[in-house]
Amino acid sequence: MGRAADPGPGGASPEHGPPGWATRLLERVLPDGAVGASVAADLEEEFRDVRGSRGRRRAEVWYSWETVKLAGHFQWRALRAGVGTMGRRGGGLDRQLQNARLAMRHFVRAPGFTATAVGTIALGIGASVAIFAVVDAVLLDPLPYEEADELVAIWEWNVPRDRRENVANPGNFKAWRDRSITFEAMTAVSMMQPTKFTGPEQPEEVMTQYASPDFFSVLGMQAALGRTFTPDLSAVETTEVVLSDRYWRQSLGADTGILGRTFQLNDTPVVVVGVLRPEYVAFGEGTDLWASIDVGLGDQTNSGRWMMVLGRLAEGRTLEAATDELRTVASRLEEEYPEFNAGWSVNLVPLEEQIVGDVRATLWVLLGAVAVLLLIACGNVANLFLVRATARRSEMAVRRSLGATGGDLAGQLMTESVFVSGAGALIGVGVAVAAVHWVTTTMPDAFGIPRIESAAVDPTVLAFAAALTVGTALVFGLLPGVQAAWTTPGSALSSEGRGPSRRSGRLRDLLVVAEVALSVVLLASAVVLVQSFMRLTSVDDGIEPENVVVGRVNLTGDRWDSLSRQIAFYEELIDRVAARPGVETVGGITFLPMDGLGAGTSYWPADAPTPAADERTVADVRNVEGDYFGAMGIDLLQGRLFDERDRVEGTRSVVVNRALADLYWPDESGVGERIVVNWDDQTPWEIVGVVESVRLQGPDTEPRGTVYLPYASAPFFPWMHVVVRGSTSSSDVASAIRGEIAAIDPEVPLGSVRVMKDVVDRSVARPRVTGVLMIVFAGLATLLAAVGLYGVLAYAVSRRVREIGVRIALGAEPRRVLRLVVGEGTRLVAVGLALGLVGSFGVQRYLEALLYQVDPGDPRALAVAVAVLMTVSLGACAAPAWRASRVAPVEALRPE
Amino acid sequence: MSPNSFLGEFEQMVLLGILQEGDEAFALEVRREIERSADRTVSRGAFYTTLDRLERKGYVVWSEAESDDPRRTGPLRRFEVTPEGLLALRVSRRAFDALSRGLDEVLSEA
Repeated sequence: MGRAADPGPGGASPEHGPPGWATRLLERVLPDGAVGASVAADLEEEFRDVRGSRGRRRAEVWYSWETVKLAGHFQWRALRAGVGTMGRRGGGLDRQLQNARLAMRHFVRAPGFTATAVGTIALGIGASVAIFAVVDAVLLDPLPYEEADELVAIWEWNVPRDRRENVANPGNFKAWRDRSITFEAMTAVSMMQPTKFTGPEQPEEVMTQYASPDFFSVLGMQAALGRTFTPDLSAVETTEVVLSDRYWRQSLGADTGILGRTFQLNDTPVVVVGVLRPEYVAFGEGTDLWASIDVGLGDQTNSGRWMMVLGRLAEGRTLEAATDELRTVASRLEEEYPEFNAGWSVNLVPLEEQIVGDVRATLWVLLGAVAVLLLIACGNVANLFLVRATARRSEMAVRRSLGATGGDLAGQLMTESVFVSGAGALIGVGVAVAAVHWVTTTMPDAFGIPRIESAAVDPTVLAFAAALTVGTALVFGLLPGVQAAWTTPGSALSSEGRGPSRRSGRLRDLLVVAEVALSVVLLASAVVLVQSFMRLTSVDDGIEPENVVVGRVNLTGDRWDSLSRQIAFYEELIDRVAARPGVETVGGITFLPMDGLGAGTSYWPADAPTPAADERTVADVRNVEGDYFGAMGIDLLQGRLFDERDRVEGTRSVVVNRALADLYWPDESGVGERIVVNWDDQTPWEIVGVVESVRLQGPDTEPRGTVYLPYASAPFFPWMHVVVRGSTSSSDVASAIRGEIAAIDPEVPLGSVRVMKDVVDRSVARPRVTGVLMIVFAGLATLLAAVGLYGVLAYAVSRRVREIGVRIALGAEPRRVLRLVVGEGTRLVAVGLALGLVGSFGVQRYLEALLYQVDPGDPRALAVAVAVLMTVSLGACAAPAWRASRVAPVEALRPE
Repeated sequence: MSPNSFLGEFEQMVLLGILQEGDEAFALEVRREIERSADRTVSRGAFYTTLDRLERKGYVVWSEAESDDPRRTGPLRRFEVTPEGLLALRVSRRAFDALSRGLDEVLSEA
């Protein structure tokens, strides 16, 4: 068969050759020389045949397709075989492909190096991404409301007692609303309270907030299902309720048929008009349903403060202008109602600040900590790369001699960095996704951070992760990259090429110093945070929460509208529960310690003149039943506890706490004294006993005066937390309470059953989590720094085997060699420690807001940090030093 | 001398194709010959890769030839099977024959 020379039926003219882009592509991928040229020519020859038989257009399509297949084949082959084809001709993409291939080969050949580098970066990026996901959701994501920056929380401010965020009085709220022009709208919502909801199932205790009908429209929140409240209450026949997404899903099985149905709330008919979106509702954490009522108009008596007020600033009005205006209104109200409003002003807080203000410091500190951790991780990986770059100096020099430019070599090392950070990021982000998911689904409450349940690794967080990946690659890839670019062709042959470069050695020393310094900062911060947390938990909060189970009972509706029936119910319930096996003591209280809200009012000694309204002291007021003090483990200091004597009609006995007694009768017993409790009347009460103070608002608050009233003498609230100290399991105790309630009245629900220890723990959730996370981060940082130090010393020793061998051969004692190496490590650590201590002083002020009775610059904390790092560092020095001291003199003679 | 490994099926086809084409064993012709005889399409990439591999193993050599088609832009490669290539083919064939012995009935086509 001859080489066909005939042009074929279609004829051939040069202008009808194969598509230009395809021939150019082929030219780039095919091997050099005759082989590539002949392959291209073969394809072109076939193209002419196809064109002759099937026409030009089809031939072009055919040729393009065949070219792409062929190009793919050769490129793949080149990548696998490690023979650059594209790269040779110098395109940017080609070079990167070649770099990528080389990088892959290096990593596969050094699995230990790769795993260490990738793992270290994964750790840094994973921690950073997880914390950033929370920061993003809580601090950076705007609140899920329309124009959320116009929303302001408005509080009453008790100036003499400096309580800046006191709930508001309905009359005052109405005056603010009617007399101001800086607000487009102002709305109010009650505090959350337990109510009985008789829905499609059994009656159930739910947490309800009573809200102005415009509450959701002022917030700018929409319903996911149905609608929010009708703005005009006069057009509403049955009270409207809106359900939270959580309650609707968890208790009502996400039943869409619930809309428009009428149920009973505290035995009053209500109609369900909507279900909210699963978004954070301001002032409504934990609320199951909102009922629309006329909060402003129905209650104009100037007594009682119980509402939370929310305003939307009118367009162009500033917070300052609104504050000035409302303070003017408040001072008028002070003049108009001096008895009630003396000493009261207003305080405006932007809603966002209100919700996340006090976690901001925590989150920024944590983010700072992971940033430091990531930097240390980068330092370590940079160190690894530098060590390896030194080992690869000959390779680099040879490549330089063969024509690679400094840029080529730097590009190669940068590609390797990108690989490591990319792989690390993939793993790190994976871990972060899992961690964030775990936290938000299984234990959002454990952190004590609002809105944490909305944290997710979303596109913003992924973008952050991508930026981190590139950033870390630059941080740890730059030094080795620059170093590679400096390589000269001759260095492969010079003796310098085989020994450690002084420059890279110094770079590695600097990295270790920086790592140690950063670790000290982190460690010292972690130590003070943990110190603060330990101080918080070791505070004597006045109760013994172990083995105590609590549950809330709420008596509402027509059946229970008589106070005597409520009193009788609680007395019977407590007697019944006390008789159950495994129960030691039972009592009841209207508001649990460390569980948020509670009641309070002013009081004064009955035999002193009535103080002016703005000079009164405020006490917490609690109604108790049964042996509450025994069940909660509160010590009696003087006098007696409540007993049968206090049940006699007309008896007015109170028990006060030590803080109250000490204030008025510091050197004598308060028992027998009489006080006025400014609640419903001003008839004095007689103090029969003094008990230990309890930190009702959490361990970080100082106890204030507390007045305990027998429930029977003053049933101010229809609910009671039953407090049971038992010797059996908490679930047994809970079912005992439930059983006894059902025996009296199966319609009464038991809600919020908890172990008292959890209630206490939850009040310190945030400091605990912060402390634990900081210790984990600091521990990892220290470990990484130690690994870095170890790496540098081990490498230095391995490079100096010959020198050490000579020293030993010349009579140096192993101990001296040991000291030599340890001394080298210690010098680096000492410099790092010194810098770290300076750094610690620099970050102290950021920690102050998180600390309880601990000085951020506590020398003991710094001492602990230094001691830990010294110990770990000595450990890191030990192995290389030991190896050095065991070098046999003959090693010195062995050729490299 | 015996080859280090058996030839793959496609390698055998390529070697046989070269032998069939004799003096005219240009790459394009060899590929067409295989497609014709084996009645199957041969991927260009696989074909050139195999030629390369056979060359590396020392089973084929090639020389440049001038095309008499003036439109042809690149050289022609004329392939030849080396004595080592022939030996490898023989060894493979022998093994094949030995393994096929007594299986005529099973292997013959109806």
